[in-house]
Parts: sequence; C-alpha cells; structure tokens
Amino acid sequence: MHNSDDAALVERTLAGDQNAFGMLVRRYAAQARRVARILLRNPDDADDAAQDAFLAALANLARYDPRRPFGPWLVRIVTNTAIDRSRRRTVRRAEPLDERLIDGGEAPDRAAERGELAMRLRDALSELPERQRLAVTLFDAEGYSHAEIAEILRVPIGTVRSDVHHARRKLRDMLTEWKETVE
Amino acid sequence: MTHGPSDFERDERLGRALRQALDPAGDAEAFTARVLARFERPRARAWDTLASWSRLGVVAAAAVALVVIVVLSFRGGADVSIEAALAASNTDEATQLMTEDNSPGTDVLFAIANEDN
Repeated sequence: MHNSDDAALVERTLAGDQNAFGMLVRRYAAQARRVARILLRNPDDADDAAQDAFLAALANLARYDPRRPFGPWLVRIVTNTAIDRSRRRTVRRAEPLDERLIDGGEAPDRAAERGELAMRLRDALSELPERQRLAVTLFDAEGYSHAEIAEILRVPIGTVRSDVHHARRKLRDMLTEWKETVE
Repeated sequence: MTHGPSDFERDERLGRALRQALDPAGDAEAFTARVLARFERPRARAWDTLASWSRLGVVAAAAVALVVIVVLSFRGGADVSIEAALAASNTDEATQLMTEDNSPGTDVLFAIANEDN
C-alpha cells in the first residue's frame, strides 16, 4: 500500500488540488470496484456504488486520520455504500455478457474457460454470507491483514480468521469440483 | 487448491482467481473520469449558488447602506445644536433672528403684508 503517498495526496486534495484526488481515485479504482462487486452482482450497480463511495470519501476526507492507512478507510466506505445500495436498489437483473469471453488477445477456448471460472467463482461468492465474502476477498485478493479487515468490518479479529477459513473451504471445494468437470 | 496455505498466509492462487472474477470489465480511465465529472458538477453548482447569493448580497448591501446613510443623515441633522447652526451661518441677521427675544408684533406683519399687496 502507499500510506505516506496517500496521506500526502489527501492533504493536497483537502487544499483543493483536484489532480491529487484524481490520483487517489486512479490508485484505488480497481480495488473499490472489486469490493463493490463482492456485494453487488451487477457490475453497473457495483460501479455506481464505487463512484458514490469515492464522493462520500471526498466529502468526509477531513475526518480521515493521515497516520492510518488510507485503503482500509476507503474500503469501509465502499463496503457501506455497496451494502446500502444493495438494500435499497431496484434490482437490475440482466447480467451483461462477460467481456473477457468476447474480447480478443487470448485463445477462445482459454478465454472461455477463464470466463467460465470467473462466473462460477462469482456464483460461489454470492452463496457465501456477506461477511465471509468480504473477508476472504479482502484477505486473499486485496492483501489486507486480518487486523485491517477486522477494522473495516468492525468485528473481532478471530471472527475474520474464522470467516476467511470457512469461505476458503467453500470456494476451494467449488473450484476443485469445477476443475474436475473441465478436465 | 484443496491443500492451500494456512489461514495466516495468503492463498495467492485463490486471490488471483478472485481478482479475475471481480475485476471490472470497463475502462479504468473512463471510471476515473466519471468520478471526477461527478466531483466537478456539485462544485460548479455550489459556485453558481454562491455567485447568485453574492449578486443578491451586493444589491441587499447597497440598499441597506443607502437606508443607513439616509437615516444617519436625517438623525445627524436633528442632532445639530443651535450653537453649531449659528456658527455655521455666522451672519448678524441670522443671529438676530434666532436670538431675538421679541418676535415681531402683528402690526408689523400686517404692514408687511399690505406692502406686498
């Protein structure tokens, strides 16, 4: 993570430097969108939630403590925004085609396989309880520590470890099953 | 995948698969541009509002200032003492008129009126 850099960018943003805010958005965009996607299956909803989260973060930037890492602070806002949206949205049911299945640059069968795996993983994630989904993704995919995740989710660190453990077991089972059917 | 690392270590393969599954399909730059555009919009609206407030404010301040000047000048006129007025006029006639104890009698006034006619 880029703790000191982030704090400097936050300071510049608070001083009115729009470019600094742009750099923060660029730095955390992919992560914020992925985290939103854990909670909102529709990618458009997830993107809307991630955008809302960035603007909410900007509005509350003066409350960010620059001595602490920026990532968990932002991820908490993204999580809350996405959960809030998932509870009050009008569901957009149509899931668009996975673009990786249709774009070039990779052998079609390999791309299809990866697209299929991604889809299965998303399905498996959606079957997990919300907190387990977040815990395993923040730990394994986003690289946050158990302590940071505990802070993001406002739960004891033991709960995070347990959530990661259970979520991994279910996801690994699913992946093994999928691999067997592909081979 | 069944024999993964311990719960205290990251499972890199699972992490990579999760990132691929959750990675947004759309362009990252377009996303950033949309966020910045939304950041700019309310800011522009805020400035417009402030500008309209400032225009109203200038008009209101001018009106208030005008009223204050009028009131102060009116009150200032009332506050002028006789002595100050005399000093300002500084003429014998005025002094005589203002300080004369005996106002002209009615006979004098009639005489003046008849002269005019």
